[in-house]
Parts: sequence; structure tokens; C-alpha cells
Amino acid sequence: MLRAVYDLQLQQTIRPGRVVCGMFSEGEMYIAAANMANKVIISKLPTLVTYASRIVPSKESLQVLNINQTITALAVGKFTRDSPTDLLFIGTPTELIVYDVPSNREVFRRPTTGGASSIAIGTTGRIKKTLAIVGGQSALQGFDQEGNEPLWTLTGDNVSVLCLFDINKDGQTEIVAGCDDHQIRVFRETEQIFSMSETDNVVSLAVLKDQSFVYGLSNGTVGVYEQYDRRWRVKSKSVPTALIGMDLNGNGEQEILCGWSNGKFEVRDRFTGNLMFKYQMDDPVAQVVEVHDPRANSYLLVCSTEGNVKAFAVENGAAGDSEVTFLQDVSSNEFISVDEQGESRINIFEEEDENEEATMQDRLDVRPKKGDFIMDAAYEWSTMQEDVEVIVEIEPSMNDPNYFTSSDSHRDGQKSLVPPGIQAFLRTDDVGDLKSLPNLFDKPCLKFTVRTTVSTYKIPGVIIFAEGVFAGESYYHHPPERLLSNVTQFPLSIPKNTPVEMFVTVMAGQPNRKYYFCHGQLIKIKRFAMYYQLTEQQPTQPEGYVTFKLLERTNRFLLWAADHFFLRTDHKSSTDPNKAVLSFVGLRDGEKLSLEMTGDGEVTVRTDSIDTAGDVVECIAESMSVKQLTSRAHFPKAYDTLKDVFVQVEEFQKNRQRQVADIADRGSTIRAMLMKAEETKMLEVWPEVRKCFLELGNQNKAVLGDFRVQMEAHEKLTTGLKLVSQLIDKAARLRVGSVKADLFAKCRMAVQNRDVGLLTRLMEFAGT
Amino acid sequence: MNPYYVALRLFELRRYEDVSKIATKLLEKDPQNEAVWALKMRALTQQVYVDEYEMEYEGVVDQLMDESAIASNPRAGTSLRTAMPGRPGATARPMSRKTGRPVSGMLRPSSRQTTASLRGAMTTGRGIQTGQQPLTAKIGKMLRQGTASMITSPNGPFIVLSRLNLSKYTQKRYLAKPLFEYMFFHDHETALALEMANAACELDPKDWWWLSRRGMCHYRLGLHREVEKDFQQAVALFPHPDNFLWLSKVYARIDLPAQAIESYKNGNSTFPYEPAMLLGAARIYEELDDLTNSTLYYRDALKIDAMNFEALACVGMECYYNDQPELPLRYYRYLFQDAVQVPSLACHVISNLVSDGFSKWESTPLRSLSTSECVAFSASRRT
Repeated sequence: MLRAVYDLQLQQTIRPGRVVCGMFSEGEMYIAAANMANKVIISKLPTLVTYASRIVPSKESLQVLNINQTITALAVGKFTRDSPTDLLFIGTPTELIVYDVPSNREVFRRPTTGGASSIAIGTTGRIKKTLAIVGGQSALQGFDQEGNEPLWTLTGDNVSVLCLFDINKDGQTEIVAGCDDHQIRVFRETEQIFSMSETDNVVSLAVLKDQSFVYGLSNGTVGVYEQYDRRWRVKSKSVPTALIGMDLNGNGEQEILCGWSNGKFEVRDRFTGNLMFKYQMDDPVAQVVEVHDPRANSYLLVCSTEGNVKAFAVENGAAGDSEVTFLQDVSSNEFISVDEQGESRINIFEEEDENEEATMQDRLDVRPKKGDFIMDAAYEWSTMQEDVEVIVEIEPSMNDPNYFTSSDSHRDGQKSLVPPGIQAFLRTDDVGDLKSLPNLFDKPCLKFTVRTTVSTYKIPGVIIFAEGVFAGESYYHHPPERLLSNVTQFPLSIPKNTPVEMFVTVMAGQPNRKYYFCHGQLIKIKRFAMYYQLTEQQPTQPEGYVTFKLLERTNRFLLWAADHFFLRTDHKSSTDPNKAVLSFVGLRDGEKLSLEMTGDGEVTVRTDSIDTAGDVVECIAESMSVKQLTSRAHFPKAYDTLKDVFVQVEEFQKNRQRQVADIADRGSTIRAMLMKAEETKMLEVWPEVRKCFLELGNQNKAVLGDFRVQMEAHEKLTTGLKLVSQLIDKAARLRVGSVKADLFAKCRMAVQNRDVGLLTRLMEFAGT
Repeated sequence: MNPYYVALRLFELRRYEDVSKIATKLLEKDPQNEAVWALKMRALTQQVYVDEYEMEYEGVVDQLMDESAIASNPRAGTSLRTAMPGRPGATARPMSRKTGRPVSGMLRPSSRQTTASLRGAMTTGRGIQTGQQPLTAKIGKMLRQGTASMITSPNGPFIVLSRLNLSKYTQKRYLAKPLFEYMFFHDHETALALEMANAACELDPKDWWWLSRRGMCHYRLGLHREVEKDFQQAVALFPHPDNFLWLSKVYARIDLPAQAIESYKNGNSTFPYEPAMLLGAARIYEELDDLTNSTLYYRDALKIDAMNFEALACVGMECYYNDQPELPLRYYRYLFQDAVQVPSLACHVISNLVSDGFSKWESTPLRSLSTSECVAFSASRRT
């Protein structure tokens, strides 16, 4: 299905992901790639009929665009359907440049909020115009042909990849954004309609047919979502730098083409993830591009970071026949065929032949339906005997109640070596030895207790697999051999307030055997598992709070709380219909959280962390299906940092102008001096030459110093601005429905006018 | 008579030296008088003021070491740096040896076809297109005059800019503008002027004047992208002809001729009776070797300003090389009537006629030449 045609050698080091193909003169295809020296290299693609092994474009035939800034994204597209040639969209850390290559014309250049790390061209929602949609540090912006900006919204974190398609079959195009906070967010116009949690930074996205798309993460995962459900995923050691979907075998279904940072290029089946074709490039793959050549069939380009572009022609020989032939080396004419590798995989981990690639198939990934009981095991399998039961218990444990309040002495102190809870499960003669062991329970954590009902079934190890909790996604706990018993306990910590599904595999049996019995269980952890309920009210309440009205009775509220928190007291029976108060302490950092609901539906969430408040509001809105929610958010600490940031930003901006002028001033003197130095060299006045170049060196050092100062200031500025937009995003999470979108728009105006007072007022009172 | 009134009157008569003398005397008596101060600044500025929106020399340094142009190897015909390949149809114009472009009716400094390297530029004579200019001349042009003015005025410079409280004067709007122009045009303190312009822009971000001045500062510093931004904003706020011209200038500078022409055209639609826009567009077309369009624009300019030298000369030139030698005589006649003192022009006309087989045309057109033209003609024949 693929046949190698030619090798085009750009002889430039290319930035991964920043290669595109476009029609830059009528009827002719060009490849544009961003190199490391902040230039875009444009080269005409040879026609497919030329079978050549090495094509090196001459210097004159290469077009070079000076961008003078790091190129963060490249895209090709057109605003009007009938324009004969494509426009080139170039993203830099500060702006979007739209350039018309054939007529050497800049269509427009617009500064963006936090740079342009991803660009997609198309329409979204009900906006008729074609937009260049740009994802930046924390915002999503859409520019139309005139450079106006009809679309602007906040994303929460840097958008590294974007694609546009109708994900939920509603007839409108959504924006799917892969973000650096491990989320894949779905926007319809400015409204975020869904988000999917992944386990690492999203590095590549590609649209497939039928509402599905494929994504790649920087930890080496490649997977496919159909609508909002994940179908499968594969994990590897290297990073999937390029992904596209393309029909290679002519069966009408797209295959997934994936390029990896270790130079591997593979084709996988869309439905199962089975490997169909593999090819090894000499260098890391920078991009895989499909070329829609009007003169020929579409073909495929695989570009490496060293500027080697390999073209593959797609041949629809026998449909359905997945045999692959390609010309590996033209000189030797050696054909290699790779057969389909198609055994099905059920196990979680499997070594894949020579690449030692861990492949897992998330057939297990069934999302909970509403009404599922959270602690219920949604999936269970076991090789244990019938009469043996494996029990997994989870509870938040404070252990040392003074952990957060006391000074460091407690942390390394030996005070609570043997936690009171664990003794019950230990043989008494072991306790003496335990003192020399590190204490697992010296700080607050989520306590896992795994127990078998029969004492001869000792537990030598527990494997937990969960996304986004452990580095490397899995955790293996194994107690020391002499402590083996049918009970084991270990602490865990979950970094975020997200519902987590843990696949726990428990090994059991007699120690020192070759085989163990196994028991697997899928456990859904409550969303706010990392909060420990306090039975009495805390003396000091957190300063920040958010209040809103809920048209529900307190009973319902308590039910919700029981679903998402570990409650230690049974509130269902002892309910005061007029007031419900729950107070918690966070096991991560000792943050206090208290939830209150009065009889008339007034809910108050007291916490100093605006994030936690957002999580709580989001969770309440989701589980009680609230469509509209306005709230008053009072977070003095967050607002104070906001003010500080604005003061800083102001200062940076003022200094920046001077720094820019200084550097430019120095630059012009350096240029003149260089000229003079060259002149003296020509005249062979060597003492003078020496003097000139010494001076030049000094000036150069000075200008570099200036530049570094400016860079630092710029970095601080961008982080400051990012903080502002993240805060706005967090404030918006405290609202639901149209108030949210409204808040974005208003806050943006406030930010543009540098009105901190208005901004904080908006964040506090918006919609009330 | 009140000496201040006299000074004002003299200023209107453009006798700036006298104005500055009177103002100096007045300031000796009353150093705090802001009106006199402003007047003296204006007078000093006016003496050295240059309209900078015209094309200018581009030093070798700028040509070789500037990377603000986006495309370094653009398609032929879309850039001022690469020439169009031969045009079919018309008689080939002779190429100018200095610029490597077809000769134009007007000698202009800017032509930037360059593929030369630094070394090449230095070994093939001083400068690429300007015969005698030393390589570093461009840098000398914008030299700060701080030291120079010390010598000319015995009591030190008129204003010691480094000691000035800029933010204070920026807020005094009536003083800010003359002070800025003094700094910028007279003292060439670009960095300081930029600081002031920045402050003023912050004070009132809707003031096109300050935006355009900031653009001028950025231009001198070589920050062409900033210039573009400044003038785009300025144009949007207030369509002053200068803003269009400056915008075009900076586009031409960063080698985006299509956009330069676009801006000229925008200017033209706002100011339909301003020939500068048409001339600018015509010049760019000429540099792109698109002589048809260039002539069209020159002709349009002539419709507005029938005595425009540049347009007359260029249209004449085009007609001549378009095998219509009798037509340029009409245009050149205008030039002769107004500028008889320019023998080189006459020489050019006539030597062209001669070299093309003068006898062929002798019968008709030359008979209609006036006396002065004949004098010039015969002078040229002798040489």
C-alpha cells in the first residue's frame, strides 16, 4: 500500500511538528518547514513520476522566510474557498503572521495572547467565516481574513495542538484542543463543552472519520477517541511527534500514521491499534504530511528532523490486502514486506518483540453511568479459589494530626513510627523489626488496605494501574518478605481532584512460589478522596469562600457529599433539615475545606484555594445537573496576587520598550563597527583590525547581556499574564452556563484596560 | 515693538536664524518663558527639518546585515530586491550600470537589487549603488549632535537633554511636541525621543501624532516591525497623508512592495488629489520593473500636478523607449521650460536621440524645440 518514491533533502534541521504542505503557486505543491534558525524553508516538491533516491534542492530554488522569532507553529490554509493558492500561517511566541507566499505579501500580523503554539484553519460553531484559530499560552483566538478577532476564549493552559471537526455529531464544528495540563478540551465557539483527562502533555492530534480522533502524549501514548470515549491506546518509550489519519489500503477506512521521536514510522489500524506497517527513519520524525496534489493522487511525506523528506506513494492495489511493499534502498532494489501483526491483546502489559514496547488495550475503560455506586467494582477478574475473597479498602488517613501545623521536627522525627492502625494486621513478633523500617504512614495520605479472607493467601505484591496518578502510570507495592501476611497496607496520594479509576491487581498465595493467584479489580476512587473529614468545626475558617444558590434540599446535598467524599459520620440519619455543615482537611497540603448548606439552598464552600472551590462547584453542577449557576466568589489571596501581577506587568512593559530601543541602538553600532572591522581587514592594518574586533567583541557581549535581561523580563511577563488568565479561568469555573462565557468576555476587556479593580470585582460578583 | 511678536513674525517668514537670535536674547532675560523656549526649539528644528517619508539611501550595512525582510529569496516580480526577467514586447531599456535596473527618468537613491556579499561589496568599490559614498556614511548621517552644538553655541547647548525631566514635559502637551521634534530632528537623540514618545503614547493612546512619531523613532533604530505597527495604528486613528506615506515607506524597506502599493492606494482613495501617493506607487512599480503600471500611475499624478518633474521625466522616458520618440519631447519641453538649468537632462534627451539614429527623427520633432532647448541640444552635440 505504500511505495517509497523519492528522498528530498532540505539539509536543514527542522523543528518537530512544524512542517506543512501547501499550494504556493497555482497547481504546484510546496513543502514549508521551520528550521532551528527561525526561518521557514519552502521548497517545491518534485513530481511523483520522478523516481530518484536523493534530491537536493539548489540554494536558489529554496525560498527562505526570515521570521526572527522562534517559530512555534506552522499551518497552511485559505480564507476563501476560491483563492487559487494557499496562505502560510506562522506562529511565534508573540504573534501570528499570515503570509501570502506567491505574492510576497503579509496578509496580517496580529499579536496573540500568550503566543501561538498551535494553529488550525476552519470554521467553528455558528461563525460562518473561515478563521485562523490560534492556541496560545492560555487562550484560544480566532482571526478572520481582515485580522479581526471574532473568537476569544480561555483554555486554562497552553494549547499545544488543535484540530477542528464535528466531534459530537451535532452538525457544528468543534475545536479540539490538546493542552499542556494533560487535558483534551472541546470547544464550540467560545464555550468549553467537554474535556478529557489524559496522563501527560498532548503533543499531537489528528482527525479521523466518524467523530473520532487520535492523540499522542509526550509520555509515548497514542490512542483513539470516538466521540468522548477512548477506544484504545498504545504506549511506547519515545514520543509520537506526528500523527495523521489516511486511507492507505483503499478500504474506505482511515489508518493511523504515526511518526515517533526515535525515527519509527508506523501505520496502525484505527479500530484495534494493531500495527500494520513499520519503517525506520535515520533521524527522529518531525512530521508526517499528506499531500493533496491536484495533479496526482494524494501521497505521503515523512520528514525527519534532519530535513530528510521521504515520499511514499499510496497504491490501492488489492483492497483489503494489508501487505506492504516499499523500496527501502533504491540502489539495491531490495523489497521488504511486513505482514500484518494482528494478534489480539487482553493482558494489560505485553512485551512487543524487539522494541520492548508496553502495549495496553483499554478494553476495560468503561465509563461509569450515572447512578453507579462509586466504590463498586465495575470490573473484576480473579484466578482465586471460590472461597477466597480479596478485599480492597481505601480510606483517607491523617496519621499525624499535627503534620501540617507543627514544625519540621515531626516530619523527620521518630514519634509515630508504628501507626496505630497497622498493628492490628501484624504479627506481634514483627513489631520489633518494624522500627528499622521506613515509616510509610508518617504523613497524611490515602490508606490502601488489601486483605485476603484466608490467612494462607499472603500478599507478596499489589500492582496498581491508574492514569495520571503515578509517574509511569503504575505502582507496585511489595512488603518485605518477613512481613508477608494476608494483609498489606500502603499509602497513596492522588495529585488532583479528579475521579480516578484504579485497576488493582493483587497477587496472593504462599511466598516463594513460582506462581501466585491473581485478583484484578477496577476501583473508582471518589473525586475528593484526598480530604479527611473533621468531626468538629475548625476554630479558624478559611478566608476565601464561594456562595451560590441551589434549588435542592440539604438531604440531596449530603447525598452528593457522601458520593464524592469519604464521610466518617453518617449524616443521612441525623439530618437537621435547615443546615448541613461538613468540614475537611486536605491530605495533600493541609488545606481546610468546609461545605455548608442552609435550608433555603444557600451553599457556601469555604477554602483558600480557588482551584478546590472550582472542583467542588463543578462537581455539584455536574451531579445535580445544574444548567445555570451564578455565585459570589471571595478569594482575597488570589485577588491580591492578581494585583501584584498587574503591577509587575506594568513595570515590565515600561522597561521592555526601553530595552528594545537599547538593543536596536546597540545593534546599529555593531553593524557599523563590523563594517569598519572588515574594512580594516581588507586594508590589512592588523593592529587596527585587532582593536576593531576587540571592541566588537565587547559590544557583542554587552548586547547579549541586554538581551538576556530582556528575555528574563519577557518570561516573567508571560508567566504573569498566564497566571492572570488562569485565575480568570478558575473564577469562571465557579459559574455555570451563560454567566461563564459572559465573564470571559468582560474580564478580557478589563485585562485590556488594565483595570485590576474591575477585574477582581468581576471575578467576585459576576452574574450576581 | 514687542520682540516676541517680531520673532513670531520672522518665524512665519521662515527667517529661523533671526528668530533663534531674538529668542536667545529673550531667554537670557527670562529663562523660564516657555513660549519663547518653544519658539526657539521650533526655529532650530525648522532649520534642519527633513521630510523623511521619501525614499532614502540604504547603506551597504543595512543591505547586507538586515534581516527584517521576511522573504530572503522571493519570487521574481514580488520583491524590490530581485528584478523581473526580461519583459516581452517593449524595446529593452538600457540598464543603469549603478543599479542594475532599467534607467528611469529620475535619478533616485533607492534601488536595492543586491546579491552581493559583504566582501564583494567592499572589493567592488564604495557602496553598491552610490559612487562616492563611503561605507559608513549612513551611520554618520544620524550622528548625535551633542558635541557639535557645544562648539557653535558659546554657552553650551540650548537644551541639555540628559538633564531634562522628560515625564514632566511630556505632560505639558503644548511643549511636548516642539521638544520632541527638537530632540529628534535637531539633536538626533533617537533613544531619548523614543522614550518620550512612548510616555506620550501611554498618556493618550489615541493620539495619532505621537504614534507616528514613535514610528519614526523606531524607524531610525531599525525596528521596522514596530514601525509598521505604529503607523498602522496611526492610519486607523487619523488618515493623515504622512501616515500612509510612512507606512508605504516601511513596507518598501522590508521588501513587501505589494503592501507598499496597497497603502499608497489606500492613501490615494482618502486623498484623491495628492500626487505623492500616486508617485510613490509608480516608483514602486518601476522598481518592480512593472513599467506599464508605473507609467499609468505617473500619468495619473500628472493629471493632478501637471508640472511634476518626476512624473514628466518618467513618462517621457517610457514613451521614448516605447518607440514613440516624438512624445517624450512634449514632456521634456515642460521640463526645459521650468528647469533650463539642468543641462544633464537636456544632454540625456538629446544623446538618447542621437544614439538612436538622430537623423531618422530630425525632420519633425526637433523643429519644434524652443531656442533654449536648441542651445542645450547643440551643447550636448559638442560634447
